[in-house]
Amino acid sequence: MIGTVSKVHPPKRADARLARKEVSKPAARLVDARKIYGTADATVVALDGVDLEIKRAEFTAIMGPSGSGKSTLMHCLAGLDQLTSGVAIIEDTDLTAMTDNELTLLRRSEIGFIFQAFNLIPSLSARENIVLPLSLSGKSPRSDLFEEVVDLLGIAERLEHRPSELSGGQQQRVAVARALIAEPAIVFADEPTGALDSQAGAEVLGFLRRAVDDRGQTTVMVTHDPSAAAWADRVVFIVDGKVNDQLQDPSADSILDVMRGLQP
Amino acid sequence: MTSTLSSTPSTAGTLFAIAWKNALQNRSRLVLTVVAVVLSVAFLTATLIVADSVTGTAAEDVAEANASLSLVVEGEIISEGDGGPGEALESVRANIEKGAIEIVRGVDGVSAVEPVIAGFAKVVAGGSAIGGGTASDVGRNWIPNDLLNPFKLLEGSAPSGSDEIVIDQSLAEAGDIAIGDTVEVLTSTGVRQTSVVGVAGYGNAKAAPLQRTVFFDQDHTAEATAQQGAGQLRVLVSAEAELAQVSADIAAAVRGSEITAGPAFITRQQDAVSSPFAFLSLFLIAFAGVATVAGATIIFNTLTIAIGQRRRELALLRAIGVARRQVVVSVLVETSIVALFATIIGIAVGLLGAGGLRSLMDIAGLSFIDGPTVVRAPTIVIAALVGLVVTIGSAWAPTRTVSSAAPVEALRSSQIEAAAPSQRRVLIGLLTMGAAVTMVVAAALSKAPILLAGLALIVPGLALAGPAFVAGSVKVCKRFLASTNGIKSTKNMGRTKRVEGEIAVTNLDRNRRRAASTSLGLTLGVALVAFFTVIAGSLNASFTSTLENQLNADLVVTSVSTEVSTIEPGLVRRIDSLDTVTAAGLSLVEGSVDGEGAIVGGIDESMPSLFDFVTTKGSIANLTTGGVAIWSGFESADRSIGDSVEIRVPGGVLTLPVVAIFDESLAGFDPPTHLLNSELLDALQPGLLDSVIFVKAESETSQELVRPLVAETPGSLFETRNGYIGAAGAEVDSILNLIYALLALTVLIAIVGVANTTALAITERITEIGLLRSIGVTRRGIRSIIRFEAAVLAALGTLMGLAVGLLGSWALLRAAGESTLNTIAVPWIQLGLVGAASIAMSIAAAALPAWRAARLPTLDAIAA
Repeated sequence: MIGTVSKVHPPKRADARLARKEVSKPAARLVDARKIYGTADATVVALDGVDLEIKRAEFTAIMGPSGSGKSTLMHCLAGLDQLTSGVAIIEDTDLTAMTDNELTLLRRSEIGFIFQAFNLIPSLSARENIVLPLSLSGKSPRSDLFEEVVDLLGIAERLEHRPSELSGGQQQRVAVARALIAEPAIVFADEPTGALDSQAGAEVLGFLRRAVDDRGQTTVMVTHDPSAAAWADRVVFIVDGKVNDQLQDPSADSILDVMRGLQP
Repeated sequence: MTSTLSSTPSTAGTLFAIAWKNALQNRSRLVLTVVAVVLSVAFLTATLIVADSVTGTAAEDVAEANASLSLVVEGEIISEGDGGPGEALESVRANIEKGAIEIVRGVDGVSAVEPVIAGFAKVVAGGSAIGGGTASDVGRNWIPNDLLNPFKLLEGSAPSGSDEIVIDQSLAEAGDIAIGDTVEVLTSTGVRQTSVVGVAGYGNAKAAPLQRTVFFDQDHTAEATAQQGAGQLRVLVSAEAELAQVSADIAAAVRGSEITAGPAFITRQQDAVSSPFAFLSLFLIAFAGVATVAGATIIFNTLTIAIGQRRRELALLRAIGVARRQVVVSVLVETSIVALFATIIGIAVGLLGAGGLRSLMDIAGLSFIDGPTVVRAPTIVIAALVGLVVTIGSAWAPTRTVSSAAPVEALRSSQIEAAAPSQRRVLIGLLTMGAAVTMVVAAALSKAPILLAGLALIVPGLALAGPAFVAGSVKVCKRFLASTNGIKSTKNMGRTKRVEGEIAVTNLDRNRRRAASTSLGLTLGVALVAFFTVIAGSLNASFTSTLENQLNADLVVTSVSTEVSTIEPGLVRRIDSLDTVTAAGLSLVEGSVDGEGAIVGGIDESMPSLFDFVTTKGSIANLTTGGVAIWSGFESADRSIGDSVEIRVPGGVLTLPVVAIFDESLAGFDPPTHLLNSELLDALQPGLLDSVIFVKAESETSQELVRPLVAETPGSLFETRNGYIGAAGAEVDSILNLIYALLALTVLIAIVGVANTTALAITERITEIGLLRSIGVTRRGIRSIIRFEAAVLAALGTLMGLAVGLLGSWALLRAAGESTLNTIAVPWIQLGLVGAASIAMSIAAAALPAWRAARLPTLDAIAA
C-alpha cells in the first residue's frame, strides 16, 4: 500500500474530469475579509483585509506563523465562523449572508473537513463514519464512488472497525474518505498530518494529492510544515492577518526560503 | 533528583489552588455535582422527618400525661385489636364490674381511685360534625383529681350536670368553638344539647393521640355513652405504701382484673399509639431507601463523569511531577469540601421540604400528622452520612482509575472509552434475576408467600445485569431504525431521524454501565408506582364487585366515618316502618370467638334479602333461631352446622350453635367475621350504633320519604346504591394518593438523574458534537440526538419498572390476597399514563442539556 504513494509528485492536473467545470472561475474567494475578535477594550485583528481566490481543482496550502490568522481564514472560508466584514464566497454562494442552519447545510453538501485529530465519531464504524455526511442528507453513497474512494485510501479491510481499533494514520485516511464521499466543492484540511508520524503523514498527503489530480477535488490545507505544504500546487503565506506572499509549484526548499524571509 | 514525592504544605496548597480555579472555571460541572448531592440529601432528610412526624410527639405526651399515675386496674383481655390505618392498637377488654371501684378504694395504701368511662361521642356544631380524618371520637368522664386525670384544663371549668361538657383543644380549634357555645353531641344514646364550659389539653399536646375527646360530668358519663361500668380504674398509691403489695392486694380483691404499674402502662400506651403508623413508617423508610439508591446513583454517575473529564488535567499534573497519591488526595479533599457544602444545603432544603411533604399528605386526604414537625438527631446524622459517605465514596473509584493511567497515555487520548462491564458481572446479574423471577412466579403459583422474598433479589439483579439490558435495547433501537430506513422530514432541512437515532443509541452503547445505572433509579420508582397501582386497583375492584353482585338495596345509609358506627339504632326502624320500604341495619362490635379476635356483626332479620352473603353451608335466615354465621375468610371457619362456638364481647359471653357459613362478607377493611341476629347482639352488648343500613325502596316516592328521615338523624348519611359502591374504594384511594405523591417525587429524582447524566455526558463529548456540527448536523439535529438518548434511557427504565411492578403485584395478590380479594385488576390506562409521563418528563428534563449542546459554538468544540 505504501508503494502506491510515490515520493515524486505525479503529474499535476492530469484529469479530464476537470473539463466539466469552468476552470477559469474560482471555487471560493475572500474579498477584503476582516475578522476582529474581542470587545472594544481588547481587540485582536485576526484577518486584516484578505483578498484570496481558491482555484478550482487546485491544491492550495495556507501557511503562516502561529497567530498569523491562517486558521481563522480557513474557518471563515469554510462556514465555521463568520467574518466581521468583507465577503466569503463558495461557488456562487455568499456565506456572510447565511444563517447558522444554511451554513450547516452548506457544510454538509459542499464542504469536506479533515481535522488534526478526533476526526471520527467513536461510536460509529469506519464505514458509518465515511458515509455520515450523506446519511445526514438522507442519501446513500454511489457504490462505485464509495469503492473508488475506499480503494484509493486502502481502507477496504478496515471498514467495520471502530475508530479506537484503527491506527492514527488509518483514522486520518477514514477522515479523508469522509471528506471526499459527498463530492464537495472544497475539502478543507486543518493540519491533517499534525498528529501523525512522518510516514503516515506522507501517505495522507499523497491521498489528498491524488484526489486533486485524479478527481479534480479542490483542496485547501492549513499547515505550518514546509514538507507538507510542498505537496500543494500553490502556497499562500499569511502574516499578521494579511496575504504576505504566494508560491506556485512549491518545493520544501523554496517554501523554507520564503519562510526565512518572513522571520523578523 | 533525590527529593521525595511526599506532600509538602506548598504542593498541597498549589494543588488546592488548581482545584479551586478548576472548580470555578467549570462551574456547570460543580453545579451539577452539588445539585445531585443536594437533591439526594434533601429528599432523604424530608422523608425521615415526615416519618418521625407521623408518630410525632405522642410518646412524650403519653409519658407526660400519665406521669403521676401509680396503677391501672383493667378488665380481662377479650381479644387483641388489629389496629388499622390511624387506629390505636389496643386490646378489647371486658369492663370492670360496678362495685370494683369501692373495693379498690378500701385497699390499704390506695389514696385515690378514679374510673375511666369512655364511649363514642362526636361534636356537631352548626349542623356539621367536627373533625375528619382518622382520629376516633371519644366521650369520657372528666376526672376531678388532677393527679389521675391525664388531661388538664387549659381554660374554663370542669363540667358539672348533664348539659355541660369540656372539649379538647383540637376540637375547639377545628370547630372554632369557644367557651359558652352551645353544641350538639352525638353519642350512642342520641343527640344532646350541651354547653361548652372548658377546653382541655393532653400532656403538652392539644389532644390525646389519635383521639378527639369530649368530657362529661363524672356522674353523667355512663348514661351519655351507654357504658356499663368503667373501662379502667386509675389508682394513686400513697407514698408510704409498698406499690407491689398494693397491686397484689387489689388483684386479690377484684376478680378477673389486670393490674399494670404506671410506667408499664405508659409504655403500653406508647406502643399502642405508634403501632397504627408502623405500616406508614415502614413505607416511608422503604421510600427513603429508594430515594437513597436513586440519589447515590446520581451522585456516582455525576462524579464519575466529572472526574473523568479532568483526566487530562490530572495527567498533566502527574507528568510534571505530582505523585499519584497527591492527585488522589487532592481530588478527594476537593470532593469532601463540595460534599460538605452540598450536604449542609441538602439538609437545609430537606428541613424546608418536609413542610411541603406534609402539605402534600394533607392534600392526599391523610391527616395523620396533627402535631408539630419532629426533627430528630438521627435524621440529620443519617442524611449527613449518606451525603458525605456516598459522595466521597463515589469519587474514590474514578479518581483511582484516572490517576492510575500513565501520564503520557492520559495526555495522548482525550476520549475515554469506558471499560466494558465484565461478562461475569452481567452473568451473575442475569442469574440473580432469573432466580428472583422463578421464586416470585413459584410464590404465585404455589401460593407460598415466603417465596415473595425473591422480589428483594430483583434490585441487585437489575443493578448487575443492567448493561445487558442496555445492550439489548440498543439492538432493538438499531433494528427499528434500520427498518424505518430514514424518515425524511418534509422540511428542506434534509435531516434524517435515522442517523441521529443511530448516533444516539451508539452513544448509550458506549457506556452501558452508566446508562444502566441512570435508568435504574427510574426502574425502581416506576416499579413501586406500578406495584401499588395494581394492588390498590385490585382492592378497589374487589370491594366494588362484591357490592355490585351482592347488594340488593336501592339506598344505603352510612355512618359519618368508616371507622366507627354513628347511626342511631332507631333510624332503621323508622325507615322500615315506611310503606313499601324494607330496611336492615348492621351493628359491629370487636370481640373474640373461641379465643380468636373477631368482629361480630348484628343484622336485622330482613338483611339477607338486601345483601347476598352467599352461604356455602346452612342458611343465614336461621340466625333468627339464635345461632351464629361464620365468614369463610375467618381463620377457623372450618366448623360444621350445629357446632357450638363461644362469643365474647365487652358486654358478656354467649355460646351459640353455628347455623351458616358464608363466603361474601360486607366490603371494607374490617368486614364482620361473625353474624348474629341484631336483637341477640343488642341484648349481649347494649347501646350499639348501626354501622350501615341497607334500604330497599323501589319507587322514587318511597325513596324521597327516606331522605328526610336520614337528614334529621345526626350521624347518618344518605347514599344511593351507585354512590355507595363508588365510595367503597375511597378508603383505598386516600392511602394510594399519598403513596403516589411520594413515588412521584422518587420518579422526579430519577428523572433529574437522567438530566444530570445527560448534561455531563455532553461536556464529555464537546469535541464530538463540534465535529458533527462541522460536517453538517444542524442544531436541531444535535438536540434530537440528546433527546433520543434520554428517551431510550427513560423507556428502558420505565418498561423495566412496569414489568417488575406488575410481576410483584400479581405474585403478591396471587400468593397472599386470595382470601379477601376476588379480582386482580390491572389498571392498564393508569399504568400507561404513568409510563408515558415518566418517559415524557425524562425527555423534557433532557431539553435543557440538549439546548446547551446545540448552542455550543462549533469552533470552541473543535478546539477543545
